Amino acid sequence: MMNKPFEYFAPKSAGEAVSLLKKHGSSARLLAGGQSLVPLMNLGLAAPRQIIDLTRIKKKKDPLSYVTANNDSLMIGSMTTHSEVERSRLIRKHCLILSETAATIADVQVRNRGTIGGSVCHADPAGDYLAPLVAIDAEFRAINSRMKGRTISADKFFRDMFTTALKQDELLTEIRVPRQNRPRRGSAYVKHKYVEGGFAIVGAAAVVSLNKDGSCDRVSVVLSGVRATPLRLGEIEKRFHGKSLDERAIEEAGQLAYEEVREPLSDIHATSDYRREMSRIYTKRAIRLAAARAGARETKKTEEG
Amino acid sequence: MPRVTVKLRVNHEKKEVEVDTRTLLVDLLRDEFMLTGTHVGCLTGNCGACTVIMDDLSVKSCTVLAAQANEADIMTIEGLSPRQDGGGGGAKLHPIQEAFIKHHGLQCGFCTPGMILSAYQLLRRNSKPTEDEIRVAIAGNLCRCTGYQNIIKAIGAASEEMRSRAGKQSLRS
Ligand SMILES: Cc1cc2nc3c(=O)[nH]c(=O)nc-3n(C[C@H](O)[C@H](O)[C@H](O)COP(=O)(O)OP(=O)(O)OC[C@H]3O[C@@H](n4cnc5c(N)ncnc54)[C@H](O)[C@@H]3O)c2cc1C
Ligand code: FES
Ligand code: FES
Repeated sequence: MMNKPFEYFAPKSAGEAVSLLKKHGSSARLLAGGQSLVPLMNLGLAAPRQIIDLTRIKKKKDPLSYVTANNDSLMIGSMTTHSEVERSRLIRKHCLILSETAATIADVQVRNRGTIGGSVCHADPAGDYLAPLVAIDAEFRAINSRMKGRTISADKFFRDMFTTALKQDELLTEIRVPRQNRPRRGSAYVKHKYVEGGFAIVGAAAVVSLNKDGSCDRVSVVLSGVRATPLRLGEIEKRFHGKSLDERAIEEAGQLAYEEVREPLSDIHATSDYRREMSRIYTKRAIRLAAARAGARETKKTEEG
Repeated sequence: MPRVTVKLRVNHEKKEVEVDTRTLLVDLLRDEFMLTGTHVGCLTGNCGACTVIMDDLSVKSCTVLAAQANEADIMTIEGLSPRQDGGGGGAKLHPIQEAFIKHHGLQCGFCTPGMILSAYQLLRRNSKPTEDEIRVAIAGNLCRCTGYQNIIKAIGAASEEMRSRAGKQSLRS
């Protein structure tokens, strides 16, 4: 059994959860799917004195688990599980890259409980959602203990390893993503893992927009797993505007990724050099797939159907 | 020590207990209810030996607090084989269990309850999985004995058997 005892709270609403956070200060922790926090507690690496369980909220009137859409965006409740993101018809239709990402996370059991909100708040450098959410310019909605809401852009949300822009009394309620199924737009997430179900050694998210003549309007690439926070490859964004995205350009983008990813993380799964080389390869694969999807839309025959 | 009351259904039986808040779902099942078919390999969510079905979804019960299972419906390996009255724990084995025996899908048996419940989760959603789909479905369950091949065969065979039984049943009615 875990060493340190803790008090357990099961608030019925998000408001109740944030007031508990405020009351107990930094010794309290929110519990979402528990797929990162409970193992850390079992290992003694986290020892909160109060656990504020969000799983009771989603079933009641004040849900944190939902997917809705308006003209420009999808709204995803923070307690939406990886399995739900993987299967949601709305997400598959309007933001395929997120469903594709969810499907690469861990295994069925972890996906059945782990949540998108928990993943981004945990902010593991190898967390799969991080790169795609930054690449598609997601926004995070949070409320604090005075029930005041604010919106934080994905670019500003991830501050450091396991550290986000959220304040101690804030709770993430929603993730908003711009709809991706636009003409001549394609996006893709590809992941290099050491074993099925493992964390990303490198995860590459690419978003490609093409002009009517087929040349590149914009290409964004963001990597998970190489730095403490998701790495946006700025050089690639600058270089290909107005150019054709042929194999030579994609080769060049890979080289730019290699150059920009200097001294990436090193751990038991991959050395720094290996991660750097894989950044080249997975950047190329992500762009190639995103570009194919952007092109495929023109002929109305998309592989996502 | 802070304690919490948990009311839940386990293998169709209603239960109510008061436990230390630190109790994991797997501890509750093994130590309070003596359902020791659910195994513990790692306590970090990696091995899958503790897999159970919670509200129709497979979960790793070492990553769930007992308190989180309040009001939940849990099925463990002991509840898989159907009883005459519709409950679990009957003497007759489930087709997945039979297929594991027939196709040598187990050696030491440590991973088996979790493996079988992952197979059960797969076959409830997908009655005719491909070999690749079977592999993905058991990615969260480690086996250190079999080399997985016979497990994959067993799950494939179970899916055939279950489809053929379902077919016979629909012919009869
Ligand atoms: C075996 C295994 C393999 C895994 N493999 C992968 C993988 O390949 N890729 C990957 O990306 N992840 C992986 N994970 C992690 C998994 O995705 C977790 O689900 C995720 O990191 C955390 O989500 P959770 O809902 O479980 O959050 P929890 O574990 O409940 O919480 C995580 C942290 O976020 C905080 N938090 C949660 N919700 C909120 C909120 N709404 N507002 C503010 N703070 C909040 C909590 O206080 C806690 O600090 C793996 C986990 C396991 C056990
Ligand atoms: S004991 Fe739960 S996953 Fe290993
Ligand atoms: S049969 Fe021994 S671990 Fe799988």
